[in-house]
Amino acid sequence: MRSHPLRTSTINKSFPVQSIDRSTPPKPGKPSLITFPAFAREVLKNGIPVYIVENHSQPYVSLQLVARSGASRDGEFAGLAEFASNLLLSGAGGRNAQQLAEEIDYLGATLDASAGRDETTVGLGVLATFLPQALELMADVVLRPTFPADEVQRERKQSIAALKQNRSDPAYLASVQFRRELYGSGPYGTEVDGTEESLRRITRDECLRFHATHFVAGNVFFVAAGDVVPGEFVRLLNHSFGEWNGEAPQPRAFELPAGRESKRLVVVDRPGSVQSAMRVGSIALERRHPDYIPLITINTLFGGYFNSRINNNLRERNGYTYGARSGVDALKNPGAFSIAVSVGTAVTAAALGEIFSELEAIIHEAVTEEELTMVKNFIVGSQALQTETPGQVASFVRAIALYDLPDDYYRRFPDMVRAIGREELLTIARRYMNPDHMVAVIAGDASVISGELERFGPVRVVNDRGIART
Amino acid sequence: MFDELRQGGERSSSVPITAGIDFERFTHANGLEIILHRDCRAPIVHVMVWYHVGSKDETPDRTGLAHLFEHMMFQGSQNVGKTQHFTYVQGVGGSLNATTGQDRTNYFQTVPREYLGMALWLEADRMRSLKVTMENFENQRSVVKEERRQRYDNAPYGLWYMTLLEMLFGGTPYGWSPIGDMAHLDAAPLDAIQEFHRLYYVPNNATLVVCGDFDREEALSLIDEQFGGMPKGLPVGRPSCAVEAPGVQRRREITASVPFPAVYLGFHSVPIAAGDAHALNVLALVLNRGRSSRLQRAMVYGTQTAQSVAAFNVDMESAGLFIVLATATEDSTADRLEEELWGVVEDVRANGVREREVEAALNHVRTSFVTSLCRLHGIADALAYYQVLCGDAGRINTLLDEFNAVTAADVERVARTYLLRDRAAVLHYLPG
Repeated sequence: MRSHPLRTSTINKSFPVQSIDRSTPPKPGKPSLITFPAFAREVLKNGIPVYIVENHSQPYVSLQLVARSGASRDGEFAGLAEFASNLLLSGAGGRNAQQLAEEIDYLGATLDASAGRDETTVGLGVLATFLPQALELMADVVLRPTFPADEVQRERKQSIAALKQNRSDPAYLASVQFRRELYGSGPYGTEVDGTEESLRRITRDECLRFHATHFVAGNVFFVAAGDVVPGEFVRLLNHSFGEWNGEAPQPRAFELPAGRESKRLVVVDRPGSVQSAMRVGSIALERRHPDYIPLITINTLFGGYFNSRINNNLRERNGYTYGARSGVDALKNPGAFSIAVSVGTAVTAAALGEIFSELEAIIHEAVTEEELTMVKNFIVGSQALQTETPGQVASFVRAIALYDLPDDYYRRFPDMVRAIGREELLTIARRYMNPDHMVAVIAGDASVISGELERFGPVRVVNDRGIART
Repeated sequence: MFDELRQGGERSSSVPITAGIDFERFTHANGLEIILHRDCRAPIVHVMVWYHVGSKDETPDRTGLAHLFEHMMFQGSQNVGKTQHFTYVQGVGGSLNATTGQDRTNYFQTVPREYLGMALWLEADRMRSLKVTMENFENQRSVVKEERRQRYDNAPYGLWYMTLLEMLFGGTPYGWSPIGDMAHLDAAPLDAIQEFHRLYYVPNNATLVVCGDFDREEALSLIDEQFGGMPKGLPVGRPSCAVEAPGVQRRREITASVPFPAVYLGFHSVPIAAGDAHALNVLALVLNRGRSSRLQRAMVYGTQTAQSVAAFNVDMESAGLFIVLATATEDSTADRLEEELWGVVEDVRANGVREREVEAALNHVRTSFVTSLCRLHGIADALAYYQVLCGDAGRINTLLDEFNAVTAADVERVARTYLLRDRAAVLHYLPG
């Protein structure tokens, strides 16, 4: 047992309490400069890039293997990337699903795989002392998955059940329909977890094909964070992954659907719903776009933090909601700007009216200098605070690698934010936040809310699978 | 090469698996508990205040007050305007939040180190001079109603936890959940809220934790400046939570708009500080941690009657509950799920668990413990938790040793002692 200096005492210093001015906070001390932590960039002998955030504060390592192919490569089998990656852990090398699970669990480690829009990730979290054993298991899972037929069946059954489960959540229904409205049948138009119909069609062959095509040395990178020493760590990775080969697949063309510029209102009917879950927005931009930083700045001010305009309006002024927020889903290709909020059924139309007026305001009047200063301080400061743990730093480094950003991107980020002016933000708001070009999806009780919503325009009512009500 | 690497695997990391949190604890003359932990990895500080008040301090006809109060604490005080707490903290890039539980309410922020004084000023101002007005009260009451709809009433299976609490602890202050009954909030007069502040938001009911990069003497001076002039409040009474374990099994059904049946088994366990708490936590991990765990192996991978399963031990200040649950797949039923859950539980009770299962659980405890220490918030919260609810912040440094002492025999014993079928609460959530 470790001893520690536990002291109990009583503070008895006496201060002239009356003389303290409590009307303003104590003056801050000298500003501390938080710079984005350094990371190393190494290469395995077969050319796989390895990004390393070395930090020995805890005896823990997190490691991600990222394949640059995600749900946008599902093709005619919506959900394939997620389905196949889930199955990586269901049998690999000489081990079946239970044997794999038992070895991973024994180490107290987590090893999991999941798909995003643009990428598929196999993630490992493990005590440093067990890293070599865990890496062997991870290598089997990544390089030698067997996709056993009975596990494919089990995964199908579980995934379909999970989908049905999700559909009972109004926020999920709104998100799915919102995506469908924006992207149609394009690569970003379906959910990462697919549809019941597509899951029923996926076979072991599709999984094998997805793995063989996308899990190749030329299509992946590693990001490691924590208690590792780069030289030693690269030797370990070379031992497990150094013989891996294969060239990256051809990139898939990405085209945005036409005819998405007019305002639309869609209600996903959820009879008896006591709340309405809303998504309002439009397609914005890709992560590498030069407008990205000004857009996240105006977004933060509008709905990206607690003190934002829409949260102050809908929550603090009107009490319509537990919280209102907006976000920019910038990806490899253009993602959406969107507002997300759940409100009481009775105030659905009133809340949507407030959202539209806030959007009108942000595209017609420049923000105040005070608001801008506040939001810049928040963005710069919170980015710095979000580098507290090695894992958090790794997630920024992962973005650098995935979206091909310059290595010094986050070092320069604070200056890029500070350089933004009010006029520039107005231009950006007009470009990406115009309500006349937005789709509003509301999952709620159509019989109660549709009539009142018509004051904003024609309302289309669909069921929970997106099929129009007749 | 393989063998060499294997040996490499047994290298002990240069960093030990231990908390090793050096901290100092002080009690101010006005009763405020103060815990300081210096950690200069980054130029930031975390300031957290725990008030030893939660939903169990409410009366049965006025539930939801402790949580509503958490909202009121952001509505302004003498020198801080409505929601200005957010403006101050987020305006310097900081992050903040607050949570309400059954035993405590906590408030916290992380800010750059030069703003330690500001964070203390904000916390002290609302402890000393919260503005409880009718306008703020009404506004936050409607926010809380939407919170309840979003997280419980309108969420699939959203009512299961509060139902189990009522079934197991009905008639005691643990019988309701922090979100509370909205009719009670509607009926609550303003002076009930003001009284709540007067009774519970006092220095002698609060623990202030400061973690991060600060100068010790400067921090102590700032704390004394901001909190020192505050008078001690009345002694705070604690409700009696004597729980009588029911002598019979209690059953209930909820029919709601959910896609599949789900089954929840609830058992009385033990309070936080009780000797059996760690063994119960290990039992929960053996049942449900990872794909090789008992429940997942049996029901998700074996019979495939469940799409998800869970087991956990909730240890509270004066009581505890152990929960086992499963949500069905398409062709399964609630009765089938219940039968299989009992099968897994009875097997552990009859045949115990293997040493290897306990070792796996302990490896998980070590892993999650060291990851929680990666953030100042994790350290501050653990220090406050052990100080307020167990009376000893130093438990953060002995916790892993305490867990290491848990054996397979302990796990078997607590399963036999607490997972009693004829005294369980059984809840079926059914599609309707």
